[in-house]
Amino acid sequence: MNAQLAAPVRAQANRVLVVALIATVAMLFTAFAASYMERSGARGWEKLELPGILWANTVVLALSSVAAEIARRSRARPFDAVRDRSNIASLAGRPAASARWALPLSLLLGFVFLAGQAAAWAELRARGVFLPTSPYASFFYLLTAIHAVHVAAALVALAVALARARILGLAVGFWHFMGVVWVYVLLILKVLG
Amino acid sequence: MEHQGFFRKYVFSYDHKVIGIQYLVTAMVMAIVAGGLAVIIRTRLAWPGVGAKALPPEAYISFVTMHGTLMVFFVVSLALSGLANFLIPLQIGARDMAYPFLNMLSYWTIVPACLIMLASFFVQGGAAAAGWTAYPPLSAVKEAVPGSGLGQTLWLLGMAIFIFSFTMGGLNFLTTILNLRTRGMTMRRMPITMWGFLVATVLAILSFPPLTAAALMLLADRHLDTSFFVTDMLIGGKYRALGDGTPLLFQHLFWFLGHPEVYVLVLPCICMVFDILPVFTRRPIFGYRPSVYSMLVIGVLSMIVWGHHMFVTGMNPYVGKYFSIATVIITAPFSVLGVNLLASLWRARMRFATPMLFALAVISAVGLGGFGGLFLGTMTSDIYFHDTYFVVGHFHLMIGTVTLLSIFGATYFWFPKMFGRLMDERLGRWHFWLTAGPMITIFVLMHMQGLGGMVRRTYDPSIYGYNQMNSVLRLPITFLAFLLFAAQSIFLWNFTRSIFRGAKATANPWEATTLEWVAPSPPPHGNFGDVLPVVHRFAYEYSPGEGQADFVPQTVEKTA
Repeated sequence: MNAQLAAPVRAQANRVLVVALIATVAMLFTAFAASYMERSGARGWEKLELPGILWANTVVLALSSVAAEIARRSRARPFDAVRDRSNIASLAGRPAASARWALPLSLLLGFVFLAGQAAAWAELRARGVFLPTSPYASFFYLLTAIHAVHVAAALVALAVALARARILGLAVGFWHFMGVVWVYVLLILKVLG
Repeated sequence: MEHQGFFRKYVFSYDHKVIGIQYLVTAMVMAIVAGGLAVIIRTRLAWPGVGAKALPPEAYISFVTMHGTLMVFFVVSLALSGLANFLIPLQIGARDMAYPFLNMLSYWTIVPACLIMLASFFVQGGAAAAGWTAYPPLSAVKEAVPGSGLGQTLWLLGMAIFIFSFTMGGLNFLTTILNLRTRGMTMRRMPITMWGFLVATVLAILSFPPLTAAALMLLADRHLDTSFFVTDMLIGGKYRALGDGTPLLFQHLFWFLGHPEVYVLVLPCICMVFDILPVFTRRPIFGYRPSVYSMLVIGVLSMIVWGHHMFVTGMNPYVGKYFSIATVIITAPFSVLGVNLLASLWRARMRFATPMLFALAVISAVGLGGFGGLFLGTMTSDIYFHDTYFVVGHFHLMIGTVTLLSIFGATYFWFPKMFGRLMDERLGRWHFWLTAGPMITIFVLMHMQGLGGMVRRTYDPSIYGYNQMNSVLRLPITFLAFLLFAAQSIFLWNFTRSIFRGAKATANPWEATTLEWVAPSPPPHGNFGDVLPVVHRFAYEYSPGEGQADFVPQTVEKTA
């Protein structure tokens, strides 16, 4: 029955879907943040030095977001003419040249980010910091791991968008949100507590 | 319609109507299990001291836990998912959900969740025993009670899958209601049930994630030696160094879901009653817009009052005062809903068909349950009532009686649309009186026991001297519970038989105005044939005036 929906309706539904998805994931991380604040006030709270590679990862993720945005805009370009950039779903026109490299690059950077996160965990491991080592370590692993799971899911969506252009807007929107959540996580771990 | 194989048509169907019925039937199966548990619990409470071998305390508390979990999440939530699936596209004039594949996926992820929950009864130590609220440390320390072992792990797993599925379903409901309405179906012309599901869905999407977070941290505490919630403590007389966690944190996260969940369940149920009433009063419902605005206010408020479940946790009295005031404020919009329900009956010539009987009983239950809520929302009285049968009676009236009676009414009402046949009216009446009567009586009597101080989740209340006066009520309640459980066989028989043998229904057997009654009964795949209906008017145009038809469907054009 999918095919029966008119393209503008589909695009609008996709936009609502991604907003709702973002809202529900935002609530998840808000709950973790609230728990972190609550726990940091209790006994036995001690912060750790964060692995330096996290800052490099942040840059990688930001670049990936930029590439994804370039991909989205270049695919949307033929529609600028009719001032309906939202209508990506029914896109049939020729994509711009950047559409060819931008999305694969974004994906690649996404995988580099995940590898970087794995390197950060390895570094902590080498320092003898494990999940149960301290409450702060527990939160560090939990927050970064849950974020990584969502990043992996977002990467799957981006990969699917390589083949099916009509979910590109949805995937890119969620991908930007993953970047925002990462900054949020980093801020919690660095500043709070 | 193109030919479809059996599996594609009835099992892994994309059709929202089939998926809706699948949800409903699954909920019925789970209801038999959960209701059976209630019968066992009541048997135990009626004859304390008898059969301690057959039902030891560990098994009793695990049955109480699973009764609550299954009823809230796997009976009422699933049945409502079923009705939402069935009704949303039909009432807004869409061919299907916005994402039919996602819809099928959300049903088929709930099935393993149900199986995991049922399987947990048969693992070593039995099913989870930490209450449906799963408070740590009982739920966090594997050695705490037998049910804290594998049973609790399966409970958390089942709940995690349930939340995943429920969120997928919710995303579908939201996108469908907001985007797939047919031409002319403005938000203000929607049947109010659509508003109920919309508000409920937004609440669910926003409030379930904190429970997910809590479940993840609890799993880590159980299996990965973290200390989010657990603290050093004595277990079986031995000191265990478990860390410096904060068990109260779990309660906050749990009730951040738990309270909105009440409205997730109750609001659609009240709205379905609003949809049933006008058909049998032949009058428009009273106060459509105030009801919608009230629901929006209730939705917002419901997310900031969770602390009223935790008055006795030693919270700062000023915090308690805030939660108390915020809770009592909810009474205002909620009363608007209640008064509008009552006012919808004003000067009506009622037809007492089965759906109407259930709708009327729901109104009574809303009144009775809501009244008890006042005493529990007020901090000073709640400190006395906390953990007594007053609470048990109260929440069973709201999220048990209101919801189940409304779901029964809705099933009788929309059955002809689901299967093209009517349910038997005479059996329906028997079912109504033997369900609504015992149900409301049982839970009102439980309020009395609570006033007498009877504490919930107790294996043998008779060991406390002060409970002697409450023991007068234990037998009547138990016999009524037996009657209630037995009466559901009438419903199951009526439901099953009517699918095949019921009287044939026309497209619009109740002479109703909303869009689902424009489609044939049962509607084909795609619901409305070649052309989608166009909406020209409000959802409740009954008895518009002298000399006009008794009802005007939404699709009828306005004449200047």
